[in-house]
Amino acid sequence: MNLFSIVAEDSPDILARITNHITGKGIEIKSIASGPAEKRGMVRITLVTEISIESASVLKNSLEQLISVISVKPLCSKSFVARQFAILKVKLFSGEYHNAMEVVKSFGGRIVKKGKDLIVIELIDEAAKIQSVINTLNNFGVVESAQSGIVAI
Amino acid sequence: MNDLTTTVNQIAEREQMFQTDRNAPVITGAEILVCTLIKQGVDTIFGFPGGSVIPIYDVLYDTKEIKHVLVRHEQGATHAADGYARATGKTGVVIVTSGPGASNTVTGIATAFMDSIPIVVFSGQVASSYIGKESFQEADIMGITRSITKHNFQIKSVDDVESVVKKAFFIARTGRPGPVVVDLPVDVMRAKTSFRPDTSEVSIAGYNPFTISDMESITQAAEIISKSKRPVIYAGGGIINSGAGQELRKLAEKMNSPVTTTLLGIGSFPENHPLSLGMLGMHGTWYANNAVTKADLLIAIGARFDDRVTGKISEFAPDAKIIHMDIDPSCINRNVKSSLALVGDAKNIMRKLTPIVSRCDSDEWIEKINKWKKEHPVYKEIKTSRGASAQKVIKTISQMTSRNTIIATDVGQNQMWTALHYTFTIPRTIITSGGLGTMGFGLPASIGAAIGMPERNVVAIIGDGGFQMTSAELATAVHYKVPVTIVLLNNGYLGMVRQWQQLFYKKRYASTEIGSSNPDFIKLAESYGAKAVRVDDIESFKSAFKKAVDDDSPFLIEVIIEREENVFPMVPAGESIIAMIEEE
Repeated sequence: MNLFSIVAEDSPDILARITNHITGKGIEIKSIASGPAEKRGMVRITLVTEISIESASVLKNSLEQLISVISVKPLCSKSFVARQFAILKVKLFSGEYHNAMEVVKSFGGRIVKKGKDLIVIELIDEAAKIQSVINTLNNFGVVESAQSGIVAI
Repeated sequence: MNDLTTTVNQIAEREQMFQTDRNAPVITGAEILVCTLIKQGVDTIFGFPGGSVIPIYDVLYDTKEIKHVLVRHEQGATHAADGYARATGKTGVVIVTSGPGASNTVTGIATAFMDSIPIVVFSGQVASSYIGKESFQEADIMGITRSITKHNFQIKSVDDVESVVKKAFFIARTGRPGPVVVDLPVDVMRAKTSFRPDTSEVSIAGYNPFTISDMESITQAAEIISKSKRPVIYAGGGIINSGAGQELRKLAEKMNSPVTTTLLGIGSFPENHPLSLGMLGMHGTWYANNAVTKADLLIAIGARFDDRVTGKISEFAPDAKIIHMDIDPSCINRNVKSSLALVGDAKNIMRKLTPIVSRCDSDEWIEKINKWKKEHPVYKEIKTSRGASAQKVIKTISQMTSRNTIIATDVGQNQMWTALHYTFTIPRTIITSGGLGTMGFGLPASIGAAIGMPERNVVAIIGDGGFQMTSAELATAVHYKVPVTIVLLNNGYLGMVRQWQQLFYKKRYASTEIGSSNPDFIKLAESYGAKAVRVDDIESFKSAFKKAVDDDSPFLIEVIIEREENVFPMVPAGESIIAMIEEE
């Protein structure tokens, strides 16, 4: 997995420019997340692909050639922090609430909405851990899952 | 306001007073656009009007500084601007209307993009409030051209017109050049604002095209070069864009290294020079392809290791250390891994490198290559069953023209015959679509080149297939009395595809025979008002060609050529570049 932290000029079509460029090279985007960067008028985009190290280097160079892109930093393992955000809607049968709570707590999640037989959980963690929570909660029944792209720095 | 020239002059006079003068003239977006074009040095625009660009054409109507060339199809405008840019080294400019006008430019923009040619295409757009509503003649040209432009802009406010246009030209011509599209909603062109020209330099946060290669890497390159006994310089279109022909020659002569060029690099090194190997690749010379394959050092300058050059990549220059010089870092290690990369302008790098390189111990190598040249000449006489030999026609044109004649080609056999058999000696004398390989390019590109370089002779070499894709531009050539000589090589086939079918598809000529339904090209040319003559042997071609070149208006020579003459050498697709077929 290759992570890139891209800083670019904020414009209505910046995501289209970047995604067009990448997919035009036959590279699949595994995850992309964009938000304001520390500098006004700039966005920081976290991009995740699964390509070889050589291809990642070529992709970095070619992304840097886009006029709207200010910088492209490949994020190497151990030296960055990456998180994903997920909201899960879990169906519960009577008597399962406490067990489900235990699972959520053990993963540092939070219940943000509680219904008669449904709970809505939010999680912020590494992508792999979020997947692990989903797998565990599937024992109860995850009926809806919404996940953000990976954000890293 | 009708007299734009007066306004521009007034603005220029007032520029120095602007610090205190608050009474800047109030003019429209279209007027600001044209003022800015004049300030950018634009003297020619190729275009085709339509509803959304009428405000711009209304301003151009009174503008003496800019000649507008009305084409017959927007694709022709982009190719003509491209030919103008390749011949002059300046930025080509196009104006088209919204919707189909804009979408018709796509092939021309992609052609310029693939070959790194600076053009700026101004496309009309529906009014801002109509965008995205499937309005009449609306096309999302920003989305359509995003992947075939160096950059594109849509101007949202009349106050941004000047700054965006300046940025567009700056981006198009600097770094690795390329096409830029500027989309102009009609309301922005009609809107008025008080305008004071901004004389500041263009600055774009994420764009620094002036990369300078460090001296340490250049010294390292000189050390690698000093150890080479079998060097080859592989020169591409970057040399032409950089204006580095002289520097290339000095480097090659000091190193005692042979030079091969890509199709786009033709003209960067004189092909009559003893160190010239001609073109390499799929239709490269035997000795160029062999020299690259047996080289111990390959210096790629302004070239991108295109698949038509490398053939089977694992067998390309297998014994060579590779030094790659390019202004575009994204070309480095993309197709072929280099031992050393020098990122920057070719001219700057060579000016620093040449003084510190030593002569290679390459006499034996050069001797061997000279022997190959004698054993495997490019030109071989062929027997014809009808008409003239196309190769001989090209050879004859080469002998009958001065060295600064501009030769525009179309795409296919005509293009490869020209690349192989015309002796190019100076940059910007071949105008050809290399990367995209756009049939239909030749005629409009030759018109653009001839308009840009009126003092030069311009010859267009085109096949009967490609000619019909943009033949309506004959009207443009006639209207502006462009003295282009069109050599139409008529074999009644889509010849290059037929050649592949002959060699690799058991002569199953599927949909490549066009001779039976071709028009009468003489009548066609004459109907536009061009002079035209048909010949079918070399002697009559010679006299027709002399007459055509001496004529000061468009002149078409239809040459009936051998139907199944092939381009050799040829490397079958995907094979190593030394797996050449040399003859039938």
